[in-house]
Amino acid sequence: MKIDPVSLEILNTKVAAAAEEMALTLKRTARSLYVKEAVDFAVGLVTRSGRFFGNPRDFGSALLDYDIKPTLDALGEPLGEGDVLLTNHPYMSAGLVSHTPDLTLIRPYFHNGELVCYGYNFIHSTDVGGKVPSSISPSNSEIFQEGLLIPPLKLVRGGEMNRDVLAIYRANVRTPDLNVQDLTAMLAALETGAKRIAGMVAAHGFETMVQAQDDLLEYAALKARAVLRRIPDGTYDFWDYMDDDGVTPVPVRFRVAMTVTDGRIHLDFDGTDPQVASAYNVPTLGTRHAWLTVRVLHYITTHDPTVPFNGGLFEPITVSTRKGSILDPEFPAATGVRAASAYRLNDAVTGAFARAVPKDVPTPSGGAMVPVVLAEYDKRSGARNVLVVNSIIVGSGARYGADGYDGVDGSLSTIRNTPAEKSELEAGIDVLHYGLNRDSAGAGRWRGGLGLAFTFRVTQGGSAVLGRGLERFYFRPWGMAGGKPGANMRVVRNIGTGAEQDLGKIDMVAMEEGDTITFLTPGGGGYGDPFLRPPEAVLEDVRYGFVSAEAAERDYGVAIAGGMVDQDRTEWLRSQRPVVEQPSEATFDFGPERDAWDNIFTDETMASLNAALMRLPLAVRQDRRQALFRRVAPDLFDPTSRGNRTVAGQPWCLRTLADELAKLIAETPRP
Amino acid sequence: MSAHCRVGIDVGGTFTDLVLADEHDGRLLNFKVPSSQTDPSSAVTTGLEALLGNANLKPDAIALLVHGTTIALNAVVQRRGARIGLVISKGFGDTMLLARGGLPNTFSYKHPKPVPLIARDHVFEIDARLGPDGTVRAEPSGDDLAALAESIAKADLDAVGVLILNSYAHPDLEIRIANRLRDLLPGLLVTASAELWPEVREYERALVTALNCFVQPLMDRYFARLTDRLETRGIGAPLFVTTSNGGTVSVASARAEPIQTLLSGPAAGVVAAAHLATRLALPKLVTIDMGGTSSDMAIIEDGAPATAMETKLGDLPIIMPVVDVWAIGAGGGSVIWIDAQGVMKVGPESAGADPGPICYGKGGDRPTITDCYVALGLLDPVYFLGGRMAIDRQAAIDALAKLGAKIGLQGPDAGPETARAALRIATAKMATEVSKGMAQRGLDPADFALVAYGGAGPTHAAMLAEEARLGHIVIPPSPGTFCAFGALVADIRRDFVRSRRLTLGQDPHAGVEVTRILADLESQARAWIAQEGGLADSVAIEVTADMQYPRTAFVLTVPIADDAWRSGDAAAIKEAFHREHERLYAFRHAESPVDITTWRVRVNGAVPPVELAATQDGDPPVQVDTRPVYLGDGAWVDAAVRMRADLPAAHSVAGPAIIEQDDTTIWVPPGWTASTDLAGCLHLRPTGGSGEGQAS
Repeated sequence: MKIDPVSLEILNTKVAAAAEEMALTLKRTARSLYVKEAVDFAVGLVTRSGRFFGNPRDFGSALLDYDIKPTLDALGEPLGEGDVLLTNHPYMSAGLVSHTPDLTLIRPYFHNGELVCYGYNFIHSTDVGGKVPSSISPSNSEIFQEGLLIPPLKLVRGGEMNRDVLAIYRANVRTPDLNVQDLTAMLAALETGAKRIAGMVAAHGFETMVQAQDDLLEYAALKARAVLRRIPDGTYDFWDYMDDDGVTPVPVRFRVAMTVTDGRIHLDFDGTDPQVASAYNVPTLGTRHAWLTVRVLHYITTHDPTVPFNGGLFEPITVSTRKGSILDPEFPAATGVRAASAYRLNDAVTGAFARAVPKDVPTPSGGAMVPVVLAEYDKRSGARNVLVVNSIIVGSGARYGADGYDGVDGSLSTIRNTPAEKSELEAGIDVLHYGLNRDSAGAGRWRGGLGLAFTFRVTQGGSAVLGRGLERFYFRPWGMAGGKPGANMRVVRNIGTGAEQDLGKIDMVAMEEGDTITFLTPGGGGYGDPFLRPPEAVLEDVRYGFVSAEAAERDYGVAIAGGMVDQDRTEWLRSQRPVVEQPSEATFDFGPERDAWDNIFTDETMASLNAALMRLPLAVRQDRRQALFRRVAPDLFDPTSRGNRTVAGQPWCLRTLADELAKLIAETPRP
Repeated sequence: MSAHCRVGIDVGGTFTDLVLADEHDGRLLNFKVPSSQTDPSSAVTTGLEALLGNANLKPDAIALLVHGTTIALNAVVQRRGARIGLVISKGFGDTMLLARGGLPNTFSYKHPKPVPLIARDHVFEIDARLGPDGTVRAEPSGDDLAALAESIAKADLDAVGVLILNSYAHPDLEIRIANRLRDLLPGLLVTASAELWPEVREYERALVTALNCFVQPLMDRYFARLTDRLETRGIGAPLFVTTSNGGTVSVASARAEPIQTLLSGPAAGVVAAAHLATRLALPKLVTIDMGGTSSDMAIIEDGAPATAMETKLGDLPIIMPVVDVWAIGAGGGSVIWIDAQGVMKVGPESAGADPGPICYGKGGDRPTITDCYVALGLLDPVYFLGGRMAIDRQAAIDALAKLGAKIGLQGPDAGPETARAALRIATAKMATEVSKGMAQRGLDPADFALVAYGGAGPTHAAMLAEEARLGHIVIPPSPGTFCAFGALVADIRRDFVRSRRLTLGQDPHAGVEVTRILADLESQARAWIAQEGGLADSVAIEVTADMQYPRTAFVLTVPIADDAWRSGDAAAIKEAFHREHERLYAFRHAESPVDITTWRVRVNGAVPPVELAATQDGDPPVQVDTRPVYLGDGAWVDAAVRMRADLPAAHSVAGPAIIEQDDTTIWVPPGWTASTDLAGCLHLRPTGGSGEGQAS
């Protein structure tokens, strides 16, 4: 760091505030619902070499591990004074844009004709055209279905708005007025940034302002490295699964090998499954990408809350992904619902951390975020009415020394729930229950946070309920160090009646008048042996309705009678198996479902399978993969078993798998 | 009539401040006494007696007492309120735990779980439920209510809230349940959510209900004790209490709904500044209240404090209108430190008042912002707080020098140099917060003057103004007791709310409904103010409504003109929304209907203005003293030292200068000029700057 430590702190403050002011300007004037309700936007200040040196901490998305250089290069001409670049193209921006609704602007800031830095922002727009309203759906298989694609181009050239671009944009989206207002807000935010940068140059001088950018990156990098040195050197493997890929019932595996060397981290995602024919692909384009490194960010900010918020804190990290995998898909794979994958890939990264520093990270959350949507005929206008009645989330993971948070999960989602009083005003529903999901949390010395229970009755026939993003029906949020996994996700129609029906994973389900539907979401995994949880804490959970008396006996070895702990019986229960006070902490409980799956589809098998698949041309890879699973695990494809799969365990599965794999390897060209 | 004085009182954590305005001669007297931790009301009466003594007045000279207190706020922050319960519709027992989703801190794996206000087993689900249209979906029987009362009795609670889903629109059922509980459980304080604040959104309504319960027993006891103490001392003047919305209510109202007082502390200072705004004809002000642990900021436009319809107290969203005050960082006690990478940091830790800064000599061992003022020579070690506290300047300088050495600050002036560096950082932080506060509201700092108060505000004001691009600073007469003055000048005010959706441009009888709903709210408002005692000069009704295009989240609170709602002119109301939407977002959906979701009526009873005597002309004082002040880079300058009380009206002091008064010290840097006005305010402007906003 070259500038003095007082000026550096002053510029650190001013740069962060400038970024926050940009965010505030944008937030105040933007019209996209995603800005208002889900904080789905970002702003930043970018160095001349393309790295983020200032991002707001409290406003907007905190993903800041990007390089804007490839986007500038793709423009094909320099970005001059008075120019503003626009793009929403994930592939041409090398992943700076991760899905098409994220309209992105970049503006260069000059001082006396010399480039000082860039201003950047994006908004998740309400709609950018394409197959479905709001542009994204898991069922999209190509990015061309996800709306208008805008390559990096000049929306503003020398201060003049490019009317032709605007005209094409307006003509291709479902909500042109809102979108143009969003662009206006984004331009206003960039103007705020310009003023603040000019102010800093005036107060501190051009040279200092330019040097400060590098110094702030270096400052963050030093702090990050100091935190990451907590992690012992070594290589830590982990993988986790999504239940399916959105269009076939085949699970998707995310694998990471984290290698730590003196505070430097390499994340190798090789062994992760191939790209999918749905919109779950994460377009990293082989870069060290924000969606891959966000867990490391949270690890660093947990241990040093003073770290400046900029791209420098990723400096000690390197990443590798395999081209053609779900984490580095080839054009034109759809990427709209990449957040669903991000949940699980981050659980995998969390697992790698847990192997290395088990006391430093929480177990995974329930791992899903589900906007529950009702489609009905509007009582007021007779028009078809589609609206989110609530956003259902999950419980957080347990931590060494503390339970997880109940009914909230901040790991990726910033969305707020919807008051029942509001949804009953807007939709023909009666909310019967909105509360914590009893017994959903992974048991542990520190238990996971509880998931949610949400039940409503539909008062109009001919309605339908949609729940996209439902996950963890099969592979559970794991527990560690003796802690148990969280419960599976469940969706139930007419719960507690004779007509009760487990629906498994739903896309859209028809509802008759008077039908109820219940979403029971998973809690986080538990931490530590539940037999070590103080009986009083278990009693409190039972008294509060968080844990049933049966689960208290079964999982915690605590007997409750007459609202009190039955000491004798508890002592007896807890003597029935050995309790390990200090387990080798990097042990995991994945639940029986995953254990069974892993027995068949071992790490070695999956490595050879994926390696072989990758040698096939992209066009046949997905079909070939599906065909193999269809033979090895036909139960997966039985439509009546969705969400309740019992695939593995039979010896013939293993034999068929070996045969199929050998066949596949034989027909693919040798590497 | 013998009663001719009004007294404003602000009970703070450390001091209880009192301000007396005497209508006979227009004089204003200030007084500070240490607060009492065991019985805060005793400091009030002690202070009052001393103040009356100083003023040579009898107890019956007091016409009105207006009182502000942070007792409720502290109880909430420290979670030291009553044992409370909540009765809520079946299926919603976890409402308080679920809140609105989201973690308190997404950037830390270690953040503790929030401490709930109500233990989960003190939440009682009851089979009572309404539809949004008022349909009774479930109603408890007499036996159900008796059983409920028994469970509550068994839990041994001080207060319970009642919330039935959708009661905001149709309060009857909920109020019936609450009344039954009041009958069955005499002595239990019961708050019905729809009586308190009938706004849609069950968590937020449950929360204000719970908070009211949480502080009510405590506040009730406090006000009872205070009323007793006043009576025994022959002070029979009506007692009013300041509220979060910048108004006051009678002590009876405050006891019934103590939540109204929750955020009144910081609001009162802003009300005082708004009073100055009018008096000085400065319609746009930004206020900075800089105290020991933190600094607060607020905005005044058109002479009125900016109001927020919703605010947050820690993690708790509070949906009642409040004067919009927010924290902007460092206070006098903020700790200065050097991190592992060798970068200087200020805060967020504070040494508070105990042990406090190093210079207090009470065991503080980490340098603070106050130590910096002392090291630079801005504060006089001898005359600090009017000489009531001894200051160890050398200890502050030594500690700062030791800290500075870690980042290479050396030499004979290392202490002051380190102090200057730390103040530059603290100032940059505050200035960027001011700038962000402006950006959030789309305001330009160039249009604003800064009002600085609190113990450290006037010391830091010029540094802040330079950094924040504010060209005019106003220092009120007694910056240390400004909140008590605010209590004195606050109007009688209460907000009423009602959520009921009406679609303009679609519902055929919308116009009639508008008139009906608002007339009903108006009559509640007028009935309330009528029983507050006839202190108000004039009563005004202000109407606003939360409006939106259907199915959007962009709710705007739009003023509704009196004639528009009284005549049921739905088209005019709709147009008002279109216009506001167009102003903010540059377009309107001209064809779209407009939803009104929540109706708001504020009743404001203006109290008679305080007539204050003008500052007297006189001779400029002879120079009292000079004091060396460190300006950085080895340069010391001799600053003129003046006593504020000695400055006559319309007199100027050029910087560098220090103006001393009992409760604060004002720093006038080189390049700035301080001038007095007839209202007793001090105006700091860059020398040679324009004279706009000059006091009359």
